[in-house]
Amino acid sequence: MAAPGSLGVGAVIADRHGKWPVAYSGAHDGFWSVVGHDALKTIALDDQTFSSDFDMNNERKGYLGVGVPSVSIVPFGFLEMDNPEHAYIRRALIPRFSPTAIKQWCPVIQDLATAFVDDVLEKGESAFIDEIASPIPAVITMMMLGAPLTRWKAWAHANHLQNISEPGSEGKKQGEQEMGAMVGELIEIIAERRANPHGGEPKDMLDVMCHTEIGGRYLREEEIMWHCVLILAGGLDTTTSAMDCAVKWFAENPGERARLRAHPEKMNVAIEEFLRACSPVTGLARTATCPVEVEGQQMAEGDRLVMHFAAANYDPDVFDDPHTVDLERWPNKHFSFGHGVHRCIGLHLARATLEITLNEVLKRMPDYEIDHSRAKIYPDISINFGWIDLPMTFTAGSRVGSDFDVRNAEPELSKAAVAASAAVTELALAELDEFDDEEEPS
Amino acid sequence: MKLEIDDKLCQGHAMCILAVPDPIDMDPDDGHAFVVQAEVPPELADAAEMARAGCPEQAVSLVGSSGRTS
Repeated sequence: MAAPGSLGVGAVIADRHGKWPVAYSGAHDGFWSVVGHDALKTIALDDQTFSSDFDMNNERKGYLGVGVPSVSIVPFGFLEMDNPEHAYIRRALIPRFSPTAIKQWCPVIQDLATAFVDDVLEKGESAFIDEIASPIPAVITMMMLGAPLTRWKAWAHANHLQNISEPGSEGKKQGEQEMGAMVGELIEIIAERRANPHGGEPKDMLDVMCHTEIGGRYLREEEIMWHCVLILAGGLDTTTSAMDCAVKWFAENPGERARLRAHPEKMNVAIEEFLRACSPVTGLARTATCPVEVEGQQMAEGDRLVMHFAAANYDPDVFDDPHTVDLERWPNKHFSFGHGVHRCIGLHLARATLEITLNEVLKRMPDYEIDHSRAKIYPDISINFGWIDLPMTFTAGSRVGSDFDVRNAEPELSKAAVAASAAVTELALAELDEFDDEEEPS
Repeated sequence: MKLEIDDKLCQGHAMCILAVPDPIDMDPDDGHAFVVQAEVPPELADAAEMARAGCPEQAVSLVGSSGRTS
């Protein structure tokens, strides 16, 4: 068994199960903390009673969104919106994240995994997070969004720095500045897209948001920016964190590493276990919209509650021997992608990115070692859990070559990426034809 | 053997897609899984059983056995 702290917050507060599935804390102006699997499920499925709304101008009920403490100044995209607004935007984007769409992107993800492993292989050492785990999810997410690839390094850095810095520290200030710069660039990119429609079918998510009607209207540029920030922050450092946990655990469990290396087809089930054991998103909040009782606790309208996904993943009523990482665990009813209408929109992308990258790392760096003494977890794990840095050494190898040039400061979309993007657009349009009754078949 | 998914139970975990990707797709409106190809070929029987067993909502069922007891 790994030390509980190395698997994140879930393992640490798992001792509350059976005693206090729902408990109250006076911290951060008071909130209910929910760890029980059943209670969490009830709450996540009832999005009418439990609101995600971040009401920044106090136009509705002044609810504070999904963070405790609330740090938002603008909504964190559609994650901090209730239906129907949330459903409109989700419906517009979901064809880009469907299993069939992600299948089109898999060759591109494989090429990126090859490229970033190539980039470190000859030197025999790597700052794993900065050089592999952070860049791959960043580049693929930015390709799908339609963001300029020249910015991948800066944006990946901004997102990681934001998560690894102590609140109030210089690093945090720096992280906030870099995130602010990213937002500024997004605002310009969105304005430019809006001003210069290319007239064709939407080729990426920015096009969908800039040039199609969503919920009967065109989104304001400001709203598009909120959704872009959600897609980037939701897609970048979270997949990174799951990758880190897997790579670190494999280093501590060489037998399992060798077994998975020999059986890459088993990686998909193993990934679900890494997601369960060290949920990258530790928890998200809701606000009760009316008086409601959960597991015998009476909540009032306006009460805040945190759903601790990471802790529910250790509920012994649902998971046998929850503190053991069992890479064959199946079924695996973890909540690491959330639950209900706000379930992670990028879950198929995350799974594919994890599977392809982890198999690439195990195949090409089979003897890697991690300096665990220098591995440190995020100082603030109220929403995200992950590792700051994983210094890695391994037997040097040679490059195999890829389309994506890691060292090029102005990378362009590879041929595979252009093809994937076109195929996804075609699929998305076909889906619209199929599901939109008003659409006349051509 | 036929694969069935009860949409009233499905919550979109997509564990079935992980187990047996090709015969299942996701509904873009609610993210729920639906069956594209119900008849399970013998070579996918184990994977289909994994999908059935792995569904957190027990929404997946296999109707009629083709030489495999479940």
